[in-house]
Amino acid sequence: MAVSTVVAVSIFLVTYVAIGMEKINRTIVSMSGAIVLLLVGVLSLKEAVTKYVHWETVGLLFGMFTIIAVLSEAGFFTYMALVVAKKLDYNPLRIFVVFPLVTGFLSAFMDSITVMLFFATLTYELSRLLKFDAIPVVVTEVCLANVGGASTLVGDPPNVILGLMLGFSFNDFVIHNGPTAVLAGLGAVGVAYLQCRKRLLHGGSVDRQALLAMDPAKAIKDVRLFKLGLGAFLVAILFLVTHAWMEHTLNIPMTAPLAPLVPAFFILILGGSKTEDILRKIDYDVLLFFIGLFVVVGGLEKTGAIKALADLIANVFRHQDLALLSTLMWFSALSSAIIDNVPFALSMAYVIREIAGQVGVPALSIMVWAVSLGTDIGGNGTPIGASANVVAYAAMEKKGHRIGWPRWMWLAVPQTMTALLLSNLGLALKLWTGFH
Amino acid sequence: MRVLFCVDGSEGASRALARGVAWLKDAGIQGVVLYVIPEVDERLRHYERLHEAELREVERLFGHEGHGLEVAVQARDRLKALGLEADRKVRQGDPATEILAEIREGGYDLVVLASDGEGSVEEPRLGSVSDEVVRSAPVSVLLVRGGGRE
Repeated sequence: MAVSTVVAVSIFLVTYVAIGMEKINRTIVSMSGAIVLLLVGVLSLKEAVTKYVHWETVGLLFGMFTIIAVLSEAGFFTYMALVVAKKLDYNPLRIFVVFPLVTGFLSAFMDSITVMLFFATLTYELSRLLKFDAIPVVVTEVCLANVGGASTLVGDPPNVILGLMLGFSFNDFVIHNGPTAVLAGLGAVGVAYLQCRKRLLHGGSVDRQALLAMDPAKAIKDVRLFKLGLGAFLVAILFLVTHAWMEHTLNIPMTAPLAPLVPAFFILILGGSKTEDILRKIDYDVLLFFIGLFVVVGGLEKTGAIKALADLIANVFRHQDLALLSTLMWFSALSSAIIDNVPFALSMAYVIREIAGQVGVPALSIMVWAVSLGTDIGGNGTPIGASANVVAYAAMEKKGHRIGWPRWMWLAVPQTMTALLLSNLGLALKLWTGFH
Repeated sequence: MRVLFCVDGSEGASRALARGVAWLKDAGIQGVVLYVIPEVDERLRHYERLHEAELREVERLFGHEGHGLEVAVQARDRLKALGLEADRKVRQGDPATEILAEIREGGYDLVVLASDGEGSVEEPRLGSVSDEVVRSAPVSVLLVRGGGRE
C-alpha cells in the first residue's frame, strides 16, 4: 500500500473517530482533517476545491436551509403543530400516532433537525397541558423523521450526497425509496402504538380551556413572510419534481441544486428588513462540515483506498446480490447508529460507484437505495445516531425530562428493527422484480 | 441571614425544600430559590441560537417563560405557601459550578439542597452535585434528605 494511501486512510479514521467522540465540534474536526490532508500534500487545494468538494450538494443544502429559515422565522412549524393538534381535538392517543406521521412527512422535504427542534418543544408543551408522557411521542417523532427523510432526495443529507454524486433525481428517490419508507414508517408507528398506548396517559385534570383559547393563527409571526416561505417551498418542490423535464424538454438548465436556490434567492431579495435575520438562521456550520468531509473522503478516492475496499466487497459478494444489498443496508444502519451518517454515506457513495463498475454485482441504483435506507433509518437506534435525535434528546433533557439511553433504545430499537426489516423486504422485492 | 434554596424540578428536591423551610422559616431569613438549567449538547445550543426568537414565541404561546424559570417560580410559590417569601433565580450550566458561583456572587450565609436526586428511573441530579457543593462551598450547607413523604 502506498504511503499516500496510508496517510489518507489514517486522516480519515482520525476524523471519523473524532466526529464520533463529539469532544470537539464536528465542523472543526472535518475542516481540520481537510487542512491536514492538504498540508501533507495528498491533495492540492485546487484539486480539493475543483474536483472533490461537491458544490452541487452544498448549493442544494444552502437553498433548502434558506427556505426553512424563512419558514421558521415566520412561525410555520408552531402553526403546523397547533393546527394538527386542534384537528385531532387535542386527543393524546391521536397526537401519539399523527404527530410522528407529520414529522415524517415534513422531514421528507425539510431538514429533520429543525423539524424536531420545534416538534419536540411543542410536544412537550402539549404534554404538560394534556397530561401525557411526552417521551414516547418524541422518540417516535424522531424515528419517523429519519424514516421520512429516506423517501426523497432532499429528506436527509446522505440522500443529497448519494443522489447528486451518483446522478439520481428527486423523482427516482420518491419512486424507489418512497414506498419502502412509507411502509417502514407505518410499521414503526404501529409498533410504537402497541408498545406504549397503555402507558401514555398520566391522568389528572386537563386544562381544556387553555387549549381551546389557543389560536394557531397567533403562531404566525409575519403573514407576508409566511406566504413567501410557503410559496418558495412549494416552488422548490415543483422544480425538484420537474427539473429533468425542464432541462430536457424546455431546454431550461434547471438542475436539482437550482430548484431550491432559485426560490431561496427570490425570497431573500423580497425579504426586506428580514433578510439579515434569515441569513443569520442558515446553518453554515453544516455546510462547512460537508466541505471538510468532501476533502477528507476525496483523499481516500484519490489514493486508491476506496477502490481497494470496493474490490474487496465485490469479490466477497460476487453473484450474491441479495446478500450484498442486505449487508450494505444493515452495515449502513449499524454504522449510522453509532457515528454521524454523513461521512459514512459520502464514503459509501464512492465505494458503491466502484462496486457497480464490476461484473456480477447488483445495479448502482439498488445499492443506492440500500445505503440510503440503512443510513437514514439506522440512526434511530441510539440518541446520537442522527443530529435530529441529539437535538430532540437534549431538548427534552433541558426541560427536565431526561430520556436516558436505555429508555431511548427500549422505545426506538423495536421501531428501527421493524423499519429496517420492512426496508430489507422492499429491497428484496425490488431485486426480484427488477424494478430499481 | 441570606439562604439559597437549590431546586432541580424533582419531587425529591421539592420535599427537601419543604423540610428546610419548616426548620428555617422562623429564623428571619431572606430566601432565594435557584434552578440551574443543565448544560445540554452543543448541537442543541447551536440550533436554539439559530431559532431563539421562535422558540421563545412557543413558550409565550403556551403561557410561560421557559422551563427553568417555571421550575424556579413553582418552587418560590411553594415557599410562599409554606410561609416564606423568596426571590427566584435561574442560571444555566453545570449545576455544581453554577450553584457555587451563585453562592460566591450572592453573599449567602447558608445553602439548602437535597442530598439525593430524582430517584432510580431518572438519573440523580442534585444528588450527584451535592458532594461537590459540600466540598467547595465557602458557607455552611444544609443537606436535606428528599426521599419518602413529607
